[in-house]
Amino acid sequence: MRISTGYQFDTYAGNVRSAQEAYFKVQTQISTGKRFQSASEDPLSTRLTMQSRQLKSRFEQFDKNLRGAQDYLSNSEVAFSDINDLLNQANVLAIQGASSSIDTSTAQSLAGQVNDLQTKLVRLANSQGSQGQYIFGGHKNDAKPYAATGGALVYSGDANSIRAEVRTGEYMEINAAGVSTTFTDIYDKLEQLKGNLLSQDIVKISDESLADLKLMREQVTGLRATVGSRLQSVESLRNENSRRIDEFTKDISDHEEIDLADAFVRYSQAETAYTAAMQVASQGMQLSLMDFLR
Amino acid sequence: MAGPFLGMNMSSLSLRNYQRAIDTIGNNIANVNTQGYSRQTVEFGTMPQLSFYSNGPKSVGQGAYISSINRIRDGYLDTSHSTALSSQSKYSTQAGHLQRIDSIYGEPSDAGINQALDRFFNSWSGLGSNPSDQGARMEVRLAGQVLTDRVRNRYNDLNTLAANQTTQINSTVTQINTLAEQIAQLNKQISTSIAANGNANSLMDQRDNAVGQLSQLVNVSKETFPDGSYAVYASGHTLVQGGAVRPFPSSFDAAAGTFTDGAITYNIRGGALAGHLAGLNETQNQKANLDQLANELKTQVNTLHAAGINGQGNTGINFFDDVAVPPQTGAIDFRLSADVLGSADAIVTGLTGEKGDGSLAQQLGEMRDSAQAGLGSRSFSGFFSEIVGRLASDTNYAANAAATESAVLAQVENQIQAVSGVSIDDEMANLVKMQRSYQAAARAMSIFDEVAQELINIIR
Repeated sequence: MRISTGYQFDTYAGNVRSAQEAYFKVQTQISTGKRFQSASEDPLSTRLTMQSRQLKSRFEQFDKNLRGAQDYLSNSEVAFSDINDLLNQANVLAIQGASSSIDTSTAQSLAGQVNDLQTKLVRLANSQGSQGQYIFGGHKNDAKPYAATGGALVYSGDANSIRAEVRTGEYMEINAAGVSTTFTDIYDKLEQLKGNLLSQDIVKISDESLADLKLMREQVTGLRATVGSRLQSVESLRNENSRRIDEFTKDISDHEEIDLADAFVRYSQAETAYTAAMQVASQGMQLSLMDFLR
Repeated sequence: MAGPFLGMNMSSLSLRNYQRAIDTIGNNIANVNTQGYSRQTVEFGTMPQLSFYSNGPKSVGQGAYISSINRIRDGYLDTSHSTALSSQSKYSTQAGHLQRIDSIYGEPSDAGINQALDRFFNSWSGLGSNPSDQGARMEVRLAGQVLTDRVRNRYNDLNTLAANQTTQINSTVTQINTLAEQIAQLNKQISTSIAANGNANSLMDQRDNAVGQLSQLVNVSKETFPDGSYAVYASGHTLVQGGAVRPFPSSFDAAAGTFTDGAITYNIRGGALAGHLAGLNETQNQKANLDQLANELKTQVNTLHAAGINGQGNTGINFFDDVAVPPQTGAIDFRLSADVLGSADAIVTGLTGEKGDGSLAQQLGEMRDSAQAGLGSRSFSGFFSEIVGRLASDTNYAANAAATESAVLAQVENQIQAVSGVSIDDEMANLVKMQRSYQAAARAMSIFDEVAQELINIIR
């Protein structure tokens, strides 16, 4: 083939340019850490990585939801544990009141202590969560849901459940729905105990009140167990989440990021090719028939 | 009558011939860097013989004359070049436009629409799971704002791009008409020059160059007439015929990829014009996609949102700003409703209006995966991922096609260079040859002169 001068020089320039492009591309990859700069450079990876990004952000949201649930459940757990203590104290008072040797003033003082416990129960039933919401009020959580009126605990909340999304479309109930019945029952039983103490009805105290308190303690223990097991599943879901999030992060990095070791090998290859192209061009450009004619 | 003067005449002819040949070589060297220049060669022919009598009729040569100065050019390669140029220019222009759209979307990243969609629906899941949390409420409003801003901004960017592409199409048409004028002008000069001077080498180079430039803009075919003039057809439209120009039509349809002058519709198949049309079409499609996405978000989110009661006891609140009577306005004014923009407390989380009711927010969170009839039974992010994925594949295809066509073009250009390009080494070798020939002719002349001298000296 006939090689024209223009072709010869264009070819040198073209070769140097394409070697430079390849060199620059690897440089960009190394300096940005990204395998590609735009979606069109790798459409398949783009699709895959967009999916991984979506799932990752979703699991990060579930993790936030679970943190909220954990907070809510821990607050409930504290309240239940306090109520349990409170019932134990009531039990002690009832046992003291069931003794035949107490006098009226002692009985009255015991009844007074039971009254204090009732006040404390109302306070615990109106426990608030981190955002100031009343955690035992169902959906109506922006006003105190429990109030003592005329010797009874009146509930003004509702029986709706509060649920947190923990997996796509899967919810975990985080409040103890129906807890209001237990609270009003406890208040009633304490009211009865108070009455029995005041009337010094030893038989009723030992036959009814002590049995009632035992039943109530069992109910509270049941509630605590439910909350405890939910806390455990929150814990295990969160562990699973962090594992999944790690997997997605790795997926994203596999698709989007370069392998540095590999990139450096390609970098030195590109550098060699670039140097070689320039070497060949600079030597080829110098050659001319004119140097041999005289 | 033969004599020493014949030889002198012959030598002086040779000296002039070689002088012309050296001039031609000089011209080749001078044009080594001229775009589209075809090297020229001098062809010699033998002068008619001179008859004389020497024991019978005989004849002797009378030297050489310049039969032609040729432009070395392969017409077949010109046609291949024109075709390759059109394809290459179409795909590289198209790839450029698609890459611009691709970079407007900027996916995959944390600053794209896809991330905003995920964040938006996730924020609803967060609010649904913790409806009393004011932070979660603010996050929903912020995520909504980010989403609407991103969709709106991308849409505006696409709008600007579309306007830019329309300008490019119009200026391409202007360039086509300018080149057509040039070619027509050259046609006239060439036919005159051939008649007057026998050749029109440099004008023909100029004209082929202009046709080459035209091929970059639109697919071109040409026909050569006996007087040396061209007829040039651009996408089937007779653009130039001899010295006459018919301007290229100016009204176009990007979706169909056509131009029309009212009577005839021309399919644009090549050149930058085809690339611009394809680019504009894609931009318009992407705008329509964003409109579709924004409208569906408005409809679906608002329908659910308006059904609930917010903490202020209000119902019928829209989350996104929307018009009461269709048609909806799409992405151009995609923003939050005045209520939600005014206060995050206007955001509805449940059907009852109770603070702890997150049921509606949860439904909104679950909307991320639900198939939307208005999006061809795809979810919101599924729809958008598909837009981006398809665009990425199309861009990739166009960029690869442009690379392939560039390789084809380079191949043809190499072939043209091999035939028509000037090689300084070749020219130097020829120059030396012609110089030696000139020297030989000069020497012959002096010998003829001596012979004549001798002849004159005989007679005293």
